[in-house]
Amino acid sequence: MSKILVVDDDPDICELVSFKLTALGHDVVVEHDGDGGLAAAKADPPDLVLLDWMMPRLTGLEVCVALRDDDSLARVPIVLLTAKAQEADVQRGFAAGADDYIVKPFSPRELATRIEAMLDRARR
Amino acid sequence: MTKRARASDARFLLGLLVVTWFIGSTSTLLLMIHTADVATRSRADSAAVNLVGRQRLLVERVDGDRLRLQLEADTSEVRKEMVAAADELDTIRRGVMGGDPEAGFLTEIAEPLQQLYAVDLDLDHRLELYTTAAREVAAGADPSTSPAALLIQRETADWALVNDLDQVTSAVAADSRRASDRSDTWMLATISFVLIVGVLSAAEMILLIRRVIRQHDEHSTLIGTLEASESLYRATLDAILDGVVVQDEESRVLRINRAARDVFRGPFGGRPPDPGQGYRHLLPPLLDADGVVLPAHQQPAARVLRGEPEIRDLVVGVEVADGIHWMRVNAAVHHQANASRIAVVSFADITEERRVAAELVAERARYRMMITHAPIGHALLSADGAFMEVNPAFCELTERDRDELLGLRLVDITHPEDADVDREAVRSLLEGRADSFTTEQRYLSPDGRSIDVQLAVAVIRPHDAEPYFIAQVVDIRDRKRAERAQLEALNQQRKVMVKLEDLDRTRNNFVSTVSHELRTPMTSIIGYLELLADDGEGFSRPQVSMIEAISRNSHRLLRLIEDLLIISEIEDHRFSLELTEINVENLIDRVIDGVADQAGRTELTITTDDRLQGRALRGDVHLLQRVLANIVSNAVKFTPPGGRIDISARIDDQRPDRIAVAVADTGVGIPLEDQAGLFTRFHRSASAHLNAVPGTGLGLAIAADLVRAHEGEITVDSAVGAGTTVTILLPASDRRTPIIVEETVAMAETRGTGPRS
Repeated sequence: MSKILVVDDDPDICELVSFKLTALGHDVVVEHDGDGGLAAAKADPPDLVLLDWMMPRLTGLEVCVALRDDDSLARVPIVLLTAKAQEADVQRGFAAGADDYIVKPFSPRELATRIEAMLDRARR
Repeated sequence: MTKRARASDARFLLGLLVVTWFIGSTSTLLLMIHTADVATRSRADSAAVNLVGRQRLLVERVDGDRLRLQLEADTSEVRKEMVAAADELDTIRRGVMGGDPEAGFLTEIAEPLQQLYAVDLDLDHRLELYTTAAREVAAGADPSTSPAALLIQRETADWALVNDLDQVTSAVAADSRRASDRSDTWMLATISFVLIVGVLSAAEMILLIRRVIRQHDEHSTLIGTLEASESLYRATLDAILDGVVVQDEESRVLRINRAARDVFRGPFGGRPPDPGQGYRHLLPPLLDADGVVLPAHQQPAARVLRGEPEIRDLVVGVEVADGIHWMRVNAAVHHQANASRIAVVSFADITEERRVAAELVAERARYRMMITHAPIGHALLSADGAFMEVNPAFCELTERDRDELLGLRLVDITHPEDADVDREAVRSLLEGRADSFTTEQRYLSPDGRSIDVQLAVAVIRPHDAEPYFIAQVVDIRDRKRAERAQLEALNQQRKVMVKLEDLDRTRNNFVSTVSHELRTPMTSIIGYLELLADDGEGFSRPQVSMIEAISRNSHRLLRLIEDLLIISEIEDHRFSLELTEINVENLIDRVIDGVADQAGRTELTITTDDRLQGRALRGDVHLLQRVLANIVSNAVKFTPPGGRIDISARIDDQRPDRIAVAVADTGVGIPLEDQAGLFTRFHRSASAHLNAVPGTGLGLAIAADLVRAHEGEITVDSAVGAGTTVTILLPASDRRTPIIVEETVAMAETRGTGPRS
């Protein structure tokens, strides 16, 4: 059982992801913008952060950088979930500190698989 | 006294007789004169010269160069004169016997003698001599020793007459001696007078002959001088290049020089037939300047002879064998000493001059015509740019008349903005750095409109004058207008293009944005459907089937969105290839994985060429995967259940640097007429409609675009009922890549079927 912070401005996506992850037994916290996501992470550091890229106020990439700048959060696994799928975009994502990159639209099944794998690695 | 008188008369008569004989003998004196000079000059065989005192000199040719001169005198006349003279002498005698014999005799005898011969003779000395001689002889002196007689002999030594004189003197002397014997002084005096008269007559004869000879000599000298002067005159005339003709009052030619003879020829060759009378021919009629024969009274000689003032520079024609020669004629009349008049006419041949002048005029006329009628403007400009001459075209072009332009300079009619343009060019012409230049500039019309012209300027540098310019000016207003219109049109076109590009960009942005926006809800739909499917137990069979239908169509919609996105990227040139080495077999495997569900009962096989041996493609793996997926998906759609699809890869036979991937199905095939549009967007074949095969008509078009982006080729080989083979040729890499065994199924699935934006 892990604590997963989901930050996405699309409530349907948030609900879809939390539905799947909750079903897998995780504790899911949802935030709808970058600011909120960053604040929530700082207030209660999660085990993994699922970040949408395109969001109002802080973008996922900015949140990503901010999290990596915070000593207590620097090692938290971050998965970028985005419609931006160009090779260059992917590279920018990893450069900002993301650990994985999932392109929308995605299969909830695949998402769950990747998150489990990442949590496993983090626990080790 | 009577007896004495008779006796004296008889003696006087005797003296007269002697005188008469003497005169008779001397008056037929023949002179043989050797004179080659006279003989050669005189052409006549004989001539007579009248002398004063009723005497004549007859000149007769004896032979080749000898002439005989005969002096003839009318002796009866002489005799009369001698009688008269004797009477006078008688009177003189009386004077001598009385008073002062010397003075009376000399003066009185000299005067009548002078009158008689009308010559100016200095006889004083001679008469004195003869008188002295006579006195000496009468006084008994021997004539051969008498000093006076000897003097006479010496003076007349050349003449045969001297002999006669001797005889006379001797006879008289003998007579005198006989008379003196009778101591008859009267007799002596008489004889003395006879002698004196005889001597005087002889002396006069001598003088006369001398005078004749002198006259002849003078005549000869004169003739010689005249001949020389005539020869010089003729040579001078012949040396004159102009023709000179002297014509008498009947216009007959008296003299003609060589130049005139060369022109008139005809009867004027050689010497004139009669040196005194000239040729006795008229000149051939002269023509007026128009070539019409001048009437006789209008001929130049006739005009001046008629009293018209002298003619200067009259142009006449002379018809000769080779056409008309043109002459400039001067004519004047000359009044001769004998009151007759002659016309002196000179002819200067100006045929060549006229021809050259006419040619020059014609040439000038031609040039003038050329310039005048030239459709382009011509102008002559001085070194400082002032107009020296302009042609009508130039006037028309500049909308100014000639008089106005000739008071202006080029810069005055040039648009101020263009005035500097050719200043440098003109300088280079004047400094000899160039001979001409061409430029485009604008002139200003009098009302200020600008006139576009093309200007060509050449410099002329005469040896003996200031350089000047020839300017040729062409109206290029039409061309300029056309150019401006063209430019305008081009700008308009460019604007439209920009607008179109904007529009296109907007459309692409729109498509891109919309597609992105569509994907977000699709994420939710597909995600939730998957969750629903995973929770399959909660649904009835029909419900599961419905969820599957929704899921299938959702994926189709997603694919369509992907297609639109990729097309907008291609159109917008926004995509870039991410080139990597791709293992062909891996690529094909992934594609097959992607369509496996769709394929259903269609058999899919893969054949690879051994020669590939792991040889890699060079390309963008996602895009090539999409290309192949589209092709295979098409094959699946058009191949009925139970059919076969074979995917093969091999090295291209023609080009070993290419790998050919072929997708062959056993489907319905594509009619020939549909094959051409196969790679056109939104094209859907008739069979697709007939077979109700779903699709957007984008799949193959996108595949073709992407293959071309890889510098590859895509071809279709199909026949109705015999299936279709789509082949893509792609660049092979030099490197080989091992077949990658996928790490996880999930990864393979994502990459294999996952849409890509």
